[in-house]
Amino acid sequence: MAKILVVDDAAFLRMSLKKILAAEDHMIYEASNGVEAITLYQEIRPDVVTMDITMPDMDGLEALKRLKQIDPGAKVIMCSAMGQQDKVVTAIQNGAIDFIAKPFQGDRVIAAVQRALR
Amino acid sequence: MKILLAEDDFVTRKFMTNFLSKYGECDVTVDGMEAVDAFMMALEMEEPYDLVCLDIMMPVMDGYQALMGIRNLEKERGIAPENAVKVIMATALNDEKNVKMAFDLGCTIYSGKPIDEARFEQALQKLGLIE
Amino acid sequence: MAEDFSVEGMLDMYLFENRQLLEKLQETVLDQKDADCFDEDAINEIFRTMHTIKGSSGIMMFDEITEVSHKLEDIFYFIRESHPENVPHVELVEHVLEVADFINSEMDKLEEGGTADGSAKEIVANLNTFLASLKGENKEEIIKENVHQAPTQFYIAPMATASSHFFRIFIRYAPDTIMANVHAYKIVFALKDLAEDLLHYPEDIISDESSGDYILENGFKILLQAQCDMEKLQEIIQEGYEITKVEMEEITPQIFQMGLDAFGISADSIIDLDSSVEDITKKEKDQAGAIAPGMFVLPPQGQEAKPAEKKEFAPGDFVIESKGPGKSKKLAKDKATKQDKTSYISVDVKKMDQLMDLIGELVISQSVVLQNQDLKIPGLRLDNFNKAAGQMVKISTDLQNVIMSMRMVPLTNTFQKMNRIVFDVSRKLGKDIEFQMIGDATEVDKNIIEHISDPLMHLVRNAVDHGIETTEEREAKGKKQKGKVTLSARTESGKVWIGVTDNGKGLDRKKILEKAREHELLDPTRLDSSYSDKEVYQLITLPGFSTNEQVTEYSGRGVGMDVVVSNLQAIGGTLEIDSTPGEGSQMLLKIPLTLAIIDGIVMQVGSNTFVIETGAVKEFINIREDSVIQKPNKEEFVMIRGEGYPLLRLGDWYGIADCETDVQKGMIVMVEADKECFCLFVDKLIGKQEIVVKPIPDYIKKVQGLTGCTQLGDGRIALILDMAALLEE
Repeated sequence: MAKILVVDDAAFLRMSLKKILAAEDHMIYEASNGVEAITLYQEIRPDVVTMDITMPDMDGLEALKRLKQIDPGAKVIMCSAMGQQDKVVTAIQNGAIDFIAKPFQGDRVIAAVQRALR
Repeated sequence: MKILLAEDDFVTRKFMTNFLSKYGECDVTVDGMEAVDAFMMALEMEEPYDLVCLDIMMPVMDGYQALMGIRNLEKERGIAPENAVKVIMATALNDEKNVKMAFDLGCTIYSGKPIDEARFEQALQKLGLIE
Repeated sequence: MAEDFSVEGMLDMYLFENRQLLEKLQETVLDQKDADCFDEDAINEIFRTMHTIKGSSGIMMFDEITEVSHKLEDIFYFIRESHPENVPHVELVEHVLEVADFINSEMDKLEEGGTADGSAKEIVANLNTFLASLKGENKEEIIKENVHQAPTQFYIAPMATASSHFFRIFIRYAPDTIMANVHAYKIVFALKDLAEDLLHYPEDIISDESSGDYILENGFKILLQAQCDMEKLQEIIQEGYEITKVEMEEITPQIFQMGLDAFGISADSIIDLDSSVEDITKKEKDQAGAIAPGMFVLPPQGQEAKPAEKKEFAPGDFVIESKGPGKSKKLAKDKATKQDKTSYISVDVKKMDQLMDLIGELVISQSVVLQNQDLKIPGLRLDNFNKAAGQMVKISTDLQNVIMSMRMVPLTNTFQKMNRIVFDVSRKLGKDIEFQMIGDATEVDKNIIEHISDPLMHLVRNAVDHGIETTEEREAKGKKQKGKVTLSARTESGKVWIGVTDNGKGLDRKKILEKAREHELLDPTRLDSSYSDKEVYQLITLPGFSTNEQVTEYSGRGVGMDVVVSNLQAIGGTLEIDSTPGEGSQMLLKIPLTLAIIDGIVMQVGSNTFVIETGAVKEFINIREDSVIQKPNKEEFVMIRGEGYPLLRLGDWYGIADCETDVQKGMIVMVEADKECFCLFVDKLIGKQEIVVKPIPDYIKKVQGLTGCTQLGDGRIALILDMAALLEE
């Protein structure tokens, strides 16, 4: 029931998130890099954003910072791989409200999104 | 102003460095022993610290021991009391006994936590460390 | 919550000590306000007090207080060393009081958690001028300037305001949670904005990846000090997917200060019920006495805490009184010391209230035991039991008496406050008034003190403002120029009588009646002459009454007197007013001493049970029918030993259905109230027992003659009779 913007450079990762979230009746939008994410965000004004950390051109951290500048109330959940602990910490320090680890576990993802939507 | 900070808790350390950086360059240590070592090194390099900020509850060596260590080092080098480094102890312990012992051991400012930033500045002014 | 902070906190100590010093100072000053100059002891005391306050205020960096006490210290140093002549005494008294007031009001702010932001600039300027003129007038060589040591060490009080809360939080994560330490960090990050202080374990949750495993196994511990309440925290930390359990508890500052050891302690039980008394006292001594460098070393992460080495170390005692310099001409043994060297401890009033409640419960419970149905089995031999019970009752009575005496506080402080008020108001109005205190050592329950402070202030102000005439008026009338206001206190038959007497112009009966008629407060058909003096004077306590043409700053618009009366009623007291025109007035407050536990006689009327305070009962009498006389207006009297006493049939009075009506079958109880005797008629006496007085609940309408209720040993509810109220009938 909410608008969610999924940001990841890997198509299949976007796909798997989409599948998980669509089951919960959410409207999914996609972006494949940071720049696209920012443009789309301003157009759609989603309720939640899931953001991959490592992306070319503009990585997740940078995109997060920019988004927060545009909309300080933006709710961003970082998607991290193993071993990206410090990046996640930095993201939290920059305003990310939560994180989900790859590979994605369906319930975890849904729980995180639900929490973000409150 | 050269400042030495000894604080073992990460979050508090971040806060204190932020807070102290306003007044000068801040070096960070995580326990009492490191602090005394850092202090000694600075003395030997003839770039002594102007201000030392100590937590009381720390691993390896607590704030009181560190303070004793620092004052002893200064005595050994014949540093006159007027030139001794100013030491601030910042802690949640607010007991009169704790304060007294700190003063007896040579602490210059004893501040309860949370730190009252305005008064902290006022104290620094009174000690002539800042304008 | 400010009271929850340890009393040994530096700021608390500072406030406590200085308040005591200033109180004593004010007493000394007011004592000598009429003298030509301060005597040697007073000079030394004032000097020492200012010196002490200057010192501690300097360390705490309360600059204005430091400066003002510094200046006053200089003045008294000069007086002490140079012995100047013709020191303007009254002016000096005012300066000292001004300084004391300033410091007290700054300390009030600090106590509330605010800052000492007042400016003493004006006072300091005045003091400077005063000292300069003193020095100027005395051209002799000045002995030496007062030397001040600037403080080199400072103490900064923590910023916690009165509403800081302390929490202990324990979080468990689902066992398959990835990067549990980062989840923990999320929470720490969310909390740090509202945290005044925050401790967590494990500590390094950012760079140490093994902390995640630790957290999964042992949970994540947080100690938090913040202004928010638990609800807010629950919002931030919610059981969700990863968080399987959150334990959150509010704790005391003492537990919080234990750091991570706090996780071993339950919030309620710092009380050790298991160890022997010796062990506990030893533990306390160990904890209380020695703190030493090295005791605050924290164990490295992951290791068990090693017990700290306790070196034998006693921190020095806090410096109390320094011997005053200066020559003493009189021998110390010739002077009576003002303060008793009794040692005191301060106790949280809440704890005293708890204690009072408990002793009340104990008394009831005791009755339930002693009057238990099980004991009423006929033929039971209870000799040993009764002996033991007697012993128990004795101990419990002693316990009650001690506890009640703990709550008793002398009126001295309250009276002293009035002293100051008389001084201030009389000075401002230019009247010369002497203040006298009698019986100020009389003790009353703390509760009473809190309720009479305001009424007394009002009455005292009235006496000074309206009672005592101006010096000219008094001269014209041939009275002594100096007016007098006397505050007296004494206990009488379970009540404390506090009087405010003045030798001023008294109350004007005619004026009062006129005003009352104007405000339509009187029955238009009743003649003025039918009112007794006492009744007329009581009229001034009616709401909206005031015969003052001008309302002054110091006494009210007639809003005062009725509030005084209602304040008194709240503690069961009354106000009596008496006056002699041209000579003065007397306000007498009569307040029951102990409200909680009384000795009572229990009696039966119909199916109702009543209690009368034993002290009020004079006699029980069985009478014959012909002893009762009925007047035409149905009022009854009973003749006892040739004297007639008004008779009140309780059954009739309260409309109790099945009560005894035959005077020969029931019992007459002769009671006394306000020095008058009268008789009550009841069915029978049940017995004598200790009664815990409980107020009649609000949801029951007020009934005349009842002052409370109680629960008897057998569970019945009994109503407590108020003799004074019944007397009015």
